[in-house]
Amino acid sequence: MASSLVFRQLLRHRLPWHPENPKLQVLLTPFCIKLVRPGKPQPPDTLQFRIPMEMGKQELKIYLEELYNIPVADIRVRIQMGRRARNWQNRMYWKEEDHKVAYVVMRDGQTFEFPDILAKKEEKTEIEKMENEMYEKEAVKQRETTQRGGINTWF
Amino acid sequence: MAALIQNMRPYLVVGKSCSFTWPPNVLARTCMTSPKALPSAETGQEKRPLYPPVVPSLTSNSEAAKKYKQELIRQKIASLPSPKDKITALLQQNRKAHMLYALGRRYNVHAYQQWVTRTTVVKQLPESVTDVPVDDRFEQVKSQVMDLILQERHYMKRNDNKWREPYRFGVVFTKELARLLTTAVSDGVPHLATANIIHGAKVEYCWPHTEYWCQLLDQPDIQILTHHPLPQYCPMDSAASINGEVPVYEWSPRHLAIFERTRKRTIFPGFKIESPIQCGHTQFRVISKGMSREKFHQDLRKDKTGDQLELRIMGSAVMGLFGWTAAQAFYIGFTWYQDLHYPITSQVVLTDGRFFTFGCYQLNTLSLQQEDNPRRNVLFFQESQPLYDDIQDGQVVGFNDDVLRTLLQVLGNRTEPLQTEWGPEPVPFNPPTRFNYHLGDTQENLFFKKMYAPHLRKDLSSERVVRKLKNFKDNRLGKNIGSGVTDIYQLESNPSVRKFKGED
Repeated sequence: MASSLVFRQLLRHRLPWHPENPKLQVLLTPFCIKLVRPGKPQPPDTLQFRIPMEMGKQELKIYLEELYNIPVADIRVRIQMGRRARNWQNRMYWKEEDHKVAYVVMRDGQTFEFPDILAKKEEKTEIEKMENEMYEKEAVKQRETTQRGGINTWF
Repeated sequence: MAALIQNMRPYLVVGKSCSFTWPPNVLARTCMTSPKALPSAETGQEKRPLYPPVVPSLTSNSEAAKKYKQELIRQKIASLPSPKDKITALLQQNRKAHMLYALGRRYNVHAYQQWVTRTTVVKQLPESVTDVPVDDRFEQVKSQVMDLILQERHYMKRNDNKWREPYRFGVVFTKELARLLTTAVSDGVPHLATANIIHGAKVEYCWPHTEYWCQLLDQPDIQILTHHPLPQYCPMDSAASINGEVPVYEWSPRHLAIFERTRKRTIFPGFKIESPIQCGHTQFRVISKGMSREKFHQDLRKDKTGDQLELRIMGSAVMGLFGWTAAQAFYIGFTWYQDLHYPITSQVVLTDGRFFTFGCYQLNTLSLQQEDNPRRNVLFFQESQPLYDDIQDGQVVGFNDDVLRTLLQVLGNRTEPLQTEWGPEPVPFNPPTRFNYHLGDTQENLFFKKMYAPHLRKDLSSERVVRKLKNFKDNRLGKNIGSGVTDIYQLESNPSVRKFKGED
């Protein structure tokens, strides 16, 4: 499987030439991608990935089809600038890194829904909610009376 | 005098400027009625209600009031006499609309195109087309078509540097083929003898979908127009239209490269409203302008799946014919709020030069934003088949007779004059209150003024206007005070509104 991968070779990762080397060099992928939950609602056949900036559409397609067996119909790619902040001296600095976002459309009617990963917060029962409301009302009343020296508001 | 008063209108008509209006005391006299006898119980007349109907007020901005105002405006537009007035009244405002084109270039765009136009697809041509008798001169026409193919493909030497080959060949071939067939077959087919054939006219249609507006911009290569319309393929409320499946696409069309633009919306079926021939018969569309069959399968980088070609052709047929038939419906007098009561049909032939696909479209509804509407529009579609396989040694190899037969059947589908009355029923407009153009500028009155005279919208604003005058000459003082005078000449209302200077 890995033998059919041909990636653009980055100069740092190139091995020195030797006459006994095989002609088709087998390289491991230097790329690592991340599947994310889409911010805006997407149709069910689209996946949203975060991708290193050096990767392109065709490389992502080969990556997904060879390593993960995902049939890909269409890929759209955009570059997202990282959010930046200013400090008290109004100097700007980047807080987050720039990253590339890819929207992958799957073939043959496959669908995917991003699952809930975080633990669900326990919802309060009705009785607990009513109790909390009562406590809040009494606390408000107490505040009014303490300001007046413990005397009721009738006076 | 009374006869004159009865004939003169006491209100303004939309789109016309009137230099004379009756003074209000005269108008009041016309509205006064003589005291009538009370209705007796013996005659059994219906009791007139004592109070006016309970209706949201026109001065508020609540949701019910907004809906009520919208309905009043729609009733007013529905009561207009001619379809030209209706179109100009409906399309006055610029709006944000999604720009749609017939050929989509994304994956599964055909599903969105079906959802937006509410069409179901049937994979068979209807019986009224397959039952059309083909002429006795089939062999003659066949030999002529083969000669045409050889001429265009084999013998003609063209300058290939200028145009792309599939584009140029497809366009020229379809035009020559249409000319040949309409002239060779017109003996036994009367509607083609008096038909109009238009090359390269634009078709534009806009419509409201559930949450946004859509505008179709399209340019079919050839349109054939006839005096009478085609008969319907299946009744409006039949199983095909009500139980047919329409794919749902509830996400925004930005995922399919369909973007919004604020522009003046247009409705234009390719011919003007004053033209004598107003019924569409067939469209010829050349696919090789947007995509080529050979490159589609060879393009391994993009790896387009095999189905997408046929589905995109189907989608372009859906969009092109929907826009065409709906624009024709608007020219007859129907609108998005006044639905059709008989179906409008048309046909399409999509070509590559070698492959032919046929489609027959039936438009059942115009109002697509209502979810209660059970009717759907129907497309009868036949998949693409080649007309010939190859050309060898000056001869056409593998000529397909079925394709030519269906082509002649599609063109020979006879038109019939409509038995029902054209256009929707006339709807009279009865506003709940009577208004007077010269009364005080209350909010209610302003609403009616804007509705009756939309060309005076700007003048009917009730804001204060302070104008600077040049060379203001005050006759009392007898001298030129100069420019920049604001204190003296303060206005309470807009001077361009004509005021009656008498006693009300």
